[in-house]
Amino acid sequence: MVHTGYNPALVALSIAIAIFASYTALDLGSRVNGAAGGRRFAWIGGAALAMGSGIWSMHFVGMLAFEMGIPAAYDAGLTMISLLIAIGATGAAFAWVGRTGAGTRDVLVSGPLMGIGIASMHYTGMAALHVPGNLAYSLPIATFSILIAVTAATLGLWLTFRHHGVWQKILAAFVMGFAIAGMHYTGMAAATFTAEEAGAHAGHVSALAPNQQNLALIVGGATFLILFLAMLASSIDQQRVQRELIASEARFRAAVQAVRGVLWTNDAEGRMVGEQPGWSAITGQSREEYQGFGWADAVHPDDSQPTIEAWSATVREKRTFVHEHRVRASDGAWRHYAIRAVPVLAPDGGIREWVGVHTDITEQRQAEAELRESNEEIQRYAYIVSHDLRAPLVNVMGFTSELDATRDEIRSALKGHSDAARIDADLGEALGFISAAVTRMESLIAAILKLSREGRRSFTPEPLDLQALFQRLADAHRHQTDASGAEVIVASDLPRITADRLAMEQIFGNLLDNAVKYLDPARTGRIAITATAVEARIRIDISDNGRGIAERDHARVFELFRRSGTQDRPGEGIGLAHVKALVRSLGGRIDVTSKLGDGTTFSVTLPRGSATALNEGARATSLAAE
Amino acid sequence: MKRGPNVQPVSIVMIEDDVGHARLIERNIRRAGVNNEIIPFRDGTSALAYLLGPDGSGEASAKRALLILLDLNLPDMTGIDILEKVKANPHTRRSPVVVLTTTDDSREVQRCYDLGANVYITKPVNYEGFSNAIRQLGLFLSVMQVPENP
Repeated sequence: MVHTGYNPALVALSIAIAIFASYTALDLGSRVNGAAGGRRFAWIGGAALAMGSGIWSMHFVGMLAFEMGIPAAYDAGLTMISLLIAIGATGAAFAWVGRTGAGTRDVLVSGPLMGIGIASMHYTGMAALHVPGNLAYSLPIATFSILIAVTAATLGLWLTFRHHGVWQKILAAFVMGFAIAGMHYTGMAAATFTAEEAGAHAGHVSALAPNQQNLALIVGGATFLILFLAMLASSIDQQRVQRELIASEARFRAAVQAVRGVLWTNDAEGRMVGEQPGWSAITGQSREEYQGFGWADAVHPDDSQPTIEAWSATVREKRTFVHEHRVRASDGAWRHYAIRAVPVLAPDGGIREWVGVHTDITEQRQAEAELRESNEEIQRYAYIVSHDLRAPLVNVMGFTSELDATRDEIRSALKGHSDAARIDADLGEALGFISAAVTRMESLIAAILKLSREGRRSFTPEPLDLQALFQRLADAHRHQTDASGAEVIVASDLPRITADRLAMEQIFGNLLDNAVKYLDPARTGRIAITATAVEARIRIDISDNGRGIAERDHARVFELFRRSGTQDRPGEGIGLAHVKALVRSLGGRIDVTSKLGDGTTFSVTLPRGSATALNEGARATSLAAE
Repeated sequence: MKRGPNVQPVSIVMIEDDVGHARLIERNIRRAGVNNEIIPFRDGTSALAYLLGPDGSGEASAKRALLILLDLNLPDMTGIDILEKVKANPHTRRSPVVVLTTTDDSREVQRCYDLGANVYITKPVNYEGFSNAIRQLGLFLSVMQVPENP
């Protein structure tokens, strides 16, 4: 056995190195999370370098502090390898825990990796030590030293990646420093040196050689210099982060103002805490008034229950809160707000707070209400006008017929008169024109009435198999298409849609009817029905190779009582106006692309789901019309 | 229209603001061979005053045997208002009401029947249809028993 001891000053220096290196490495390592691309590798490399060289120099200074009674020498190769092991293991540990999507659980991989890295460095460093004697280890104590390294390193990393406060970081640095120094000194306790020539070098025991002490100071100083430079880099980055933070906060506030919104924050449970200048500005509530759940007092009584329910569900499910309600302004008026709030999650997955924006949509709501009102008015107007126009027509038609019934009497009264035949013919012609005009008027009124009813119709959306629906419509036109040798091709694998069956049949029945009616007799008719899903909408195309529509008529064909091209087919000019009204009621749109002489494509774009909102609007209108 | 077992003859109360319509209705009723008295009204207020009396109690119509021809589009109120009042009054509720109007809206039709209308006829612009409808109504009236109001 060789008597050994420690130089307390150097032990203190070694521990200081371990803690300072840990602080630096953890500080650099924690920046990995926010960085992207090449920057990540720079931070991981920096952290690994700081930690690795810190571990190594702690070990080296610790060894210099060790006073053993025998001369020692180091193997340069193994010493270098021990340094590389420390840097490599540390780097791997930081890379693992700092990769995108890493969670708290990943510390359980990185911690042991770092601990084993520390221990490997130590025992490799020890293997580099050449002493004129034997070096033996106590297995339980050596195992214990490794356990200390693993446990403390895991704890240190966990503390680092859990919180970002300065004190937590310092605490983490101390724990990590303990992992390094604790491992080292426990590992040293596990070692027993046995000199070959006991007592021959007793003179060495007393004190450290001056050059060895200088070496310790140089190693320590160099390490501190490396660490200091690393800290400097880190603090420059910290300033950059700070600047970006300030800029992004300013940008954020500007964005909130740009959307005419008001920003607020709630704690995890939905309580308002701290200063809420935005909320205060729109409601006039003081801090005492809005604090906790006091903010709910400013919400319209009719809206508060639904708001609380929606909010509770959102808090439970930790999703984005999207809602609308009325809020009392400081002048007592109710204003409509659209609300969007997102949870800000803490690293452990819990909600840290809620950040929300209230956007004033009062004007938009008013404009919508006015639009709805004027729409209702137009429909009501069309309805009333068509009814009121009918009443005088009953008279015109009635008394024309009554007059017609008296023609026999007139004829007999005029018997013998020279102009009797002419008068009778004139009378007949006049009555004929009146009747024809009234009949025409009646059909026009019926068309307007039908159109106004279309806008007020309520729909029952159901899932529809488009292919079956189109095939049925095509079959219904078979007798016409077969007669002219034309064919209707319904594409297979059409997407599914949820819509009102009758409305769909009317829309596409009408379009198909038109396509068949206006085929070009000069060539074999070909009508294709295809459909494609575009996000939440479905576009259905009915293309024909018929006579086509001149470009100047493209908008006109959708107008009531307007027709295009040669007027050689029966029709009132009602079909497409009717189709357009229906498509719009279903929340869709219809477009036409056509070239005269080439063919026509009508494209109907409909929402894939049902248009329930529009449906409600239609119901409201119909009640108003009564 | 036959007389009921009572002494009073059945009177037809025609509430129709359009004079032309009123005239056409009358002509066709007469053509169907119905010769009962027709009492015309051109607005809701005067018709209600006749039906329910100046005090509005309806006692004025007690012991009367009435059949009401009702148009829905009136200048001062809708026919539905009149229908409601007639069917709610104990003295007039047993009088048959024939709604005769230009509106063929299905909800309107439903509402009239819900309120106790006995027949709902749409006035077609087509005169043949119109006169047929009225004549058939006339035939119907001629075999119909109208109770005397309590």
